Amino acid sequence: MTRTASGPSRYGRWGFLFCLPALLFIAIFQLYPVLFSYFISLHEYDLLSPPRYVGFKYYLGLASDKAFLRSLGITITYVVYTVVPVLGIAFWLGWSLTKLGRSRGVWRTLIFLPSVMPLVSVALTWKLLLNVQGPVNDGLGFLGMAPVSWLTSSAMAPWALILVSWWHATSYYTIIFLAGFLAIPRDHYEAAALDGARGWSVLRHITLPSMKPTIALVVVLSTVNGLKTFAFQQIMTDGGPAGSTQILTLLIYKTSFSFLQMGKASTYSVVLFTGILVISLLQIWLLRDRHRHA
Amino acid sequence: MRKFQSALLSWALAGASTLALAGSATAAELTFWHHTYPPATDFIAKKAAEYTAQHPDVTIKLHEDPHGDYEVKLTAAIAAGNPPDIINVLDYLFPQYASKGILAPVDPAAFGQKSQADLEALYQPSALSGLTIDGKTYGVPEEFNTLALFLNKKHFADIGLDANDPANWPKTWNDVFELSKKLQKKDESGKTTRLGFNWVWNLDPYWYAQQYWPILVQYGCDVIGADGKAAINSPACVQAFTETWQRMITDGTGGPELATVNPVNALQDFSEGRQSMAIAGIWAPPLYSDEVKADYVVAALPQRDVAKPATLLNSYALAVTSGSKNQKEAFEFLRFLTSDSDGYLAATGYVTGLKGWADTDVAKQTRGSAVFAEGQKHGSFVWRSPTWAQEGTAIKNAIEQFAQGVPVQEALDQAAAEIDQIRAN
Repeated sequence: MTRTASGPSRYGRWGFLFCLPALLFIAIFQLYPVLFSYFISLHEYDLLSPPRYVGFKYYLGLASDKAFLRSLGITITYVVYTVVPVLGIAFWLGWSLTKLGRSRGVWRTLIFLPSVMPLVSVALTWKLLLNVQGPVNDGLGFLGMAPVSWLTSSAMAPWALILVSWWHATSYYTIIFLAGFLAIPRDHYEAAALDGARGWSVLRHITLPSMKPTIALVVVLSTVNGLKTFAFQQIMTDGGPAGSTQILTLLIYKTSFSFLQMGKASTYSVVLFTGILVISLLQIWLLRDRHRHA
Repeated sequence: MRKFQSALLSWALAGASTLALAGSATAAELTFWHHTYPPATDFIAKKAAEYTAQHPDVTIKLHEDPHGDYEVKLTAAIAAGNPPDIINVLDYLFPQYASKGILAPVDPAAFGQKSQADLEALYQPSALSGLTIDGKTYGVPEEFNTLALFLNKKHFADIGLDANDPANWPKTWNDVFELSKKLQKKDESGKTTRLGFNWVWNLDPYWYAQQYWPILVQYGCDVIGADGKAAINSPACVQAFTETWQRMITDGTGGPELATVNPVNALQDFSEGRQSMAIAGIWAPPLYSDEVKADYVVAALPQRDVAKPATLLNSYALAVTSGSKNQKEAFEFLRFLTSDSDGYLAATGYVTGLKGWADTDVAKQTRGSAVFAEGQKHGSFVWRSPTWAQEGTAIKNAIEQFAQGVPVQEALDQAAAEIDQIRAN
């Protein structure tokens, strides 16, 4: 009995020891910076002199901080116009892939390619493609259309980045949807077919309910990734022209490392983090599988 | 016997280690951070090797990062309490760095001088002014720059002008824009294949400031008024931007849509022969393609009023950090390095700002040195502010707005409001 009782505790000790390096890594490189951000958000700190406590000054100033409010608006627009279409396109592509036979593997690989390409190279390539005198406008010219100021117009640049994000994000989520579709047991469809269900009816009563956890995962992931996006905006426009693509992450980067206002930048980070947390929890709650928990 | 041999060996090794430690206590390794500019880093590496050959106890470890990244990494290193011994700093950052106690005041003795006045006497007038705060100089120029207008001789010949003849140089901004129309080339589809002239676009705020600052001075426009409030939306400033930056957009001869943006080479269009005229410093030619290197001419910077010339002074300077444990050695190396004015000019195109730099054979063989030397007499540094980066960003955003058709006054009003908010916080 004694041996049996001490077993789990011994395993627990060893288990803890095995986990310790990972726990230390998380504590030092993830938890500590997050907590330090909270601490710094209550201080005036320019990296060059010691932090000075200012309480909630930066939080109270957010409502009248034009740069923050503008970036927040740009970020929300970007996320809404990225998540919704990407969800639809990836769902449709994933579904289409299930209909393919032998060629599925090839198409799956081709669709997934954008996700494995280095982000910096992809962003630089798109920057060249979308140059006013670049290939995309050459193509439009061939079709008799006027060139578009993709990256040099405040009106067009946010849309250009949204389009690039569709291309990039769709590839990843398509594969997740494909995995979800393939996990639905075939006998559900066979039973539905025996009952005479077709097309929309199958989608509504079999596919969508079975895909709910996958949809929830993709919605949460794409929203979080959309809110955290940085590379495309930094490389393709650097937030310009005239700040029209300056999303929150870029504002945080510039406020901290160009303007050396670490307290203010940390406040923005805390707000962004809280926003991501709340939105994610809300999405998980809304998209939870009620039947499974009933 | 064997034990005895082991003991003897241990004793010898311990002795050798002690000697090595004693040696390293007097040796100095200077860490030197510089922004990426291959001709400069190659030159510094060569001079560092020469210096170590003369002073075996001093070694120099050179580190470089592209401008922009460089400043971020430097700030992080300083914040982490691990600053390099020698750093390369843009002049507009000096007030901020000096006020935070990051920079060590230059020791005149290390430059072989008895006093601050003697140190200043080594340099061109104003060369140290951008690096001096409250009477203390915190760095020495590696580059003491001013601007000129670079012309492509072949392009000028295409329109029947000899660029070598100063009579054909554009003297005023109006001349530049009129000439630009003639130099611009388009293909059958209306696509611009060659620009006459363009400003820099989509780069960091300091790049913009280098180009608009001389114009603002020429028009009597102050970024910040005497009352400490933003004055960038004053009638003089609106006129300056309307008649210069905005003019090119309305003429259809330039603008962001026609510019090739490359943070590593801001002058890529001129460098590769796609632009006929460009504003740049004496440092620019090493970046040009071989074809353009053979064909460029240096003209004086255009003016609003030729009788009252005004241009920019700027300095990517060298400083020793106050946290350096090797300040004496660092300053002595800086003296050695920057005293090779001819070497710098020939290898990198940098003007160290030492008196008489333009009178040497090397300078005389350098195209445009007389134009740059003259320009240094009429220059001024950009406005000074601890929040310069934010203020510069506000003006950059205003420029990018009126480049898209927003009225200049409206864009500058917005910039002024932003600057006032920045300064109030």
